[in-house]
Amino acid sequence: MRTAACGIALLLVAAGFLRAEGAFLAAALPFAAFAALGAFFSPPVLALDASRTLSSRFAPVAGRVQVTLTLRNRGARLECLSLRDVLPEGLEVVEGEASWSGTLEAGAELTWSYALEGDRGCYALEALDAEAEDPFTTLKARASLPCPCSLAVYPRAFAAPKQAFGAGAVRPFAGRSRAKRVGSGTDFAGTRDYTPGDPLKCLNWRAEALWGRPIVNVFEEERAIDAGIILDCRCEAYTCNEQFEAAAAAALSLAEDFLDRGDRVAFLNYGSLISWTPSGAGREHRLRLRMAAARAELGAHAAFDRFDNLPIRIFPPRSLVLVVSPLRREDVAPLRSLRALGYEVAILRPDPSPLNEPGAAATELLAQRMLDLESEVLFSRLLRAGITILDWNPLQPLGALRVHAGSRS
Amino acid sequence: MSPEAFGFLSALPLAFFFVVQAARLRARMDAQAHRRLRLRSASFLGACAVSSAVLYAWAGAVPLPFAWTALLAVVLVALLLGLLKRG
Repeated sequence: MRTAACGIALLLVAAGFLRAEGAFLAAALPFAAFAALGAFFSPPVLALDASRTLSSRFAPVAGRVQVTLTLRNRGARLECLSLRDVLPEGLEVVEGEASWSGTLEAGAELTWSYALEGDRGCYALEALDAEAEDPFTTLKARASLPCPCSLAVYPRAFAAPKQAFGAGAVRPFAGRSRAKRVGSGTDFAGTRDYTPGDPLKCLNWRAEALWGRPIVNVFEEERAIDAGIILDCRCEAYTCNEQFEAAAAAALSLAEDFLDRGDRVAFLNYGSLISWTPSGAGREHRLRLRMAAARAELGAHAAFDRFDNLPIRIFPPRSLVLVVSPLRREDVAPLRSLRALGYEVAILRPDPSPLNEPGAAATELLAQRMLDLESEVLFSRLLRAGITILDWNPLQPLGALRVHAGSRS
Repeated sequence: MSPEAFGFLSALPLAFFFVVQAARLRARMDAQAHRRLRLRSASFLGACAVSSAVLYAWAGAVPLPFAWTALLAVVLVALLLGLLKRG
C-alpha cells in the first residue's frame, strides 16, 4: 500500500510541477506522508521463544498426536501477530488449528494445541512461522522460530497369524516359538534317524526293531528364537503403493508378535539402500522396530536389484529369516541359497491380485491367469527347497493367510 | 473549492484504506489494538486534512510562490511524521 501511495504522491507532485499548480502539491501531501511512514517508524521486533511438545513421538497410522506449542514474548507488545506451524507433507491437522493470530502482551506466554494424523513415515517438525504487522504503518516483521521435533508414524499393526515359527537354533530362554529338538520338550513331534550325539534315552526301540535302523524321538518345546525380518523395499517388486504399505504393516505386525513371544528380532529394509536394525528385545527395541517400519520407503538401486546382496551374515546362524516380499522370478535362487546355508526361511507374500482386480477383457483375464501360474511355479520351486510360504490377501486380516509349508525333496 | 472541502477530499482515500485495514486485521487485533489504530489513523488523517487545506489555501492566496509551496509541503510532512512518531 505504501508503494501505491508513493506512486500517487509522485504523480501528483509531477502534475503540480508541470502545471505550476500548488493544489496538486497540497493533494499529494497525505499520500506522501503515508508513504514516508516507513522511514520514520520501525517494524515490530519479534523476540519470541517457541517450544513444541508432542503427546507421543511414535504414533500408528490414523492415530492422533496432540501437538502443544508454547510461545513466550521477550519483547514489546505485539499486535496483529500471526503464527503458523509448518507441517511437512503427509501430516494433516484433524482437530484444532495449526495457526494462531492475535495480540501478545510483553512478557506473556501463549500455549495452544492441535491434533494431527499422518501417513506412514518419519517427519521432522522444524519451525514455527511468525509474522507481526503494525496495523497503522503496515510494516511487517517475519521470523522463523525453531522448535524441532520428530514424529514417527508407523504402520498400524494387524492381529498376528497363529502360525508358529521355528528355527534351527534356539535361544536358551523360554518362548512361544516351536522348536523341534531331540531329548527335551514335552510334546511328541515325530521321529528321525539317529545321529551321533543324540541322547540314548530318546532312542525309539520299537521303531528301530521295525525299520532295522536306529531311530530317535523328536519333541517340540517352546523356546525363544532369533528372528530376522527382511522387508522388501524394491520398487520393481510391487505393483502399487497399497501393496507396499500392506507389506510394511505385515512386517511390523510379525516383528511385534515375535517380541511378544519373547524372541529377539532384527529388521532389515532392503531397497534403494539397506537399513538395518540389529537384533534385540524389549520395549525400546519395539520402538526401534516401529521406527524402522516407519522409515521404509520404496526405491531402486542396481546393487540391490536382486536378493543376491542380502547381508545375511548379520543374522545369527540357523535363525529364522522371514522375508516380506511379493517375490520376483529372480528371487528364487538367492532364497534357496539362504535356506541351504541353514537358515529357516519363511516368506510372507502380499498377494497383488486383490489390489489389482483384472477387468472383464479377455487379455486382462489371460494376464491374470499367467500371473497365477507364474506364482504357482515360483511357490513350488521354493517349497521344494524347504521354504515356508505364507500367502496373504492384503484385504483380509493377517491371521487369514494361507500357509504352504515347504519340505526338502 | 473551499480549503476545508479540499482537505477533506484529499484525506478521503487514506481514510478508506484505514477502514479496509481495520476490517482485514479484525481477527488479529484485540480491543486495545483497535482503539490504538482508530486513534492513530484519526489523528493522522486529521493532520493530513488540515495541512492539505492550509497548503491549498496558501497556494491559492499567493499567485506563484511555487518553490515555497513545495518547501512548506516537505516541512509539514516532516512535522506531521515527527509528531506521530512521538505520539
